[in-house]
Amino acid sequence: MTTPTTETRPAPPDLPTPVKRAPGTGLRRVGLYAVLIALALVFLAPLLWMVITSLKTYTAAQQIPPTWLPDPFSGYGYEQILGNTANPVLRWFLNSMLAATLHAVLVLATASMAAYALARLEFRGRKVLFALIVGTLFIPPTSLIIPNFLVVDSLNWIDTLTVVIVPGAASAFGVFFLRQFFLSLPRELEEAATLDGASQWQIFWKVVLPLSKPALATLAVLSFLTNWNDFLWPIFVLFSPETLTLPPGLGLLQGSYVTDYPVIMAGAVLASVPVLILFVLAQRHIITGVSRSGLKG
Amino acid sequence: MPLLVVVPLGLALLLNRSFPGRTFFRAVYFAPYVLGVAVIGLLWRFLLDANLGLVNRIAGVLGLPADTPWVTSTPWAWVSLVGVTVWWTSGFNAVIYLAGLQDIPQELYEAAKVDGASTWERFRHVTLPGLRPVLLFVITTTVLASANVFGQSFLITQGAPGTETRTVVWFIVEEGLRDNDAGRAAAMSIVFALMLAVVSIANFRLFRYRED
Repeated sequence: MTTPTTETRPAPPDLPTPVKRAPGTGLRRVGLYAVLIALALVFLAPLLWMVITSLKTYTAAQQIPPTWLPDPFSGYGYEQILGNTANPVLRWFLNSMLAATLHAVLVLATASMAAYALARLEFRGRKVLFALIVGTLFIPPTSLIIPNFLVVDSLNWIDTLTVVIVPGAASAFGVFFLRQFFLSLPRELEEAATLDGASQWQIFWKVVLPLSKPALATLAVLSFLTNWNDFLWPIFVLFSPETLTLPPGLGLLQGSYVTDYPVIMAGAVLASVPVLILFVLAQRHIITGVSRSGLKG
Repeated sequence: MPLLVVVPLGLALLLNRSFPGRTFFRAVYFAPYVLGVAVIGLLWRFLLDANLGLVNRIAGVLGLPADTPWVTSTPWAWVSLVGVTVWWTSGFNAVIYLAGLQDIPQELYEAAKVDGASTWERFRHVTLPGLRPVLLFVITTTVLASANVFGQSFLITQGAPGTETRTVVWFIVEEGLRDNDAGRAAAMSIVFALMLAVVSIANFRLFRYRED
């Protein structure tokens, strides 16, 4: 929470090892697991219910009280979504995928170069520049929505996919995050490369970046998630059904299907599956990234 | 709001010990956070539906009143908004607390134990002071996030009843979009940002946070 100084201790790239007391034996252990499992149910049941409902027929989902399992299993919700011209959910899905991927690539490109310059190159005003960049992290994003809107409007980007890809591509968080990582790399490797006659660019491209894969992966995943889930900005700048991304699209879907829950839940499943898969695959990266950003942010 | 700070702390304390499956449970508690507010909103609007929702169904099974209007009348609508937000973000804050807990030297606990401190005393005098910077971070970001809440009330309660559960951001959005008055909306958001800045500074003062 402080203005980070150049001396900030670089965090180890791996998870902190679990320490602290081992749980008691017998009864205490059973109690611990009972609590853990009950909590896990609280966190997971809503997601399970979403999947279950998406597989029900309309009438089954309207029963009061609700049935526990879909009977019969039905593809009704998904059929409605895929063959839907008023609400082209598949199109939104592809838009989101494209936007989030390109956004993550742009963030990596700008943040890695800026962070490397701020970590390793000597130039006047470096500290001031870094402080300015980090300072922007303290501006509440919502207060920037209107100014950003006016900018993208004058660029004629409104209602095109560009408007959800480019803004935010220069990520202050990304610069900060990667700079801290670059500072933790041993300088000797780069010095050795310099002696071998490597240019600044070659050092960056062939030495620093390959060593930074874990940090780059973390940043890419976090950027993808943020972009994929963004709701407020897209509802401001995207209007036509064919340019929407999934989050504002889901809002539209709710508007047209109201209580036709299998259809709405099928849409929610479609929006959740990619990020849940990403989470399962990159769980370590995401959690490490989050805990590091919290402590050093 | 306090729930958003306390619940994750409890989760973190629970997870801050070594046992088989620790990583698994941590991942499970974190999972809702990777979903976007749009998905959370749709999902909970359904779960909280007074007639068709899972929440009232479970309440019924447990013998509690099963017809609570979770999203259409206060105070239930507020309870719902807070509850959903706790469910959504607890895993995230717990992970941040966990990282903070790992930074507290083990020796402090042992020393306290030797001095005969009870579990509660150890928590009060070792854990809490050790967590101060992290606590400050969590409280500040939670205050900011609560003030910026938009998606939950937009999608779940839709401001109901009437406009009671609408939030500041909602008004700003409406001013800028529907009424097409960007100047007014920008002015509103700047005042709002300044108010938040004051809250954050007060927060820092309160914790008398010193760098290192």
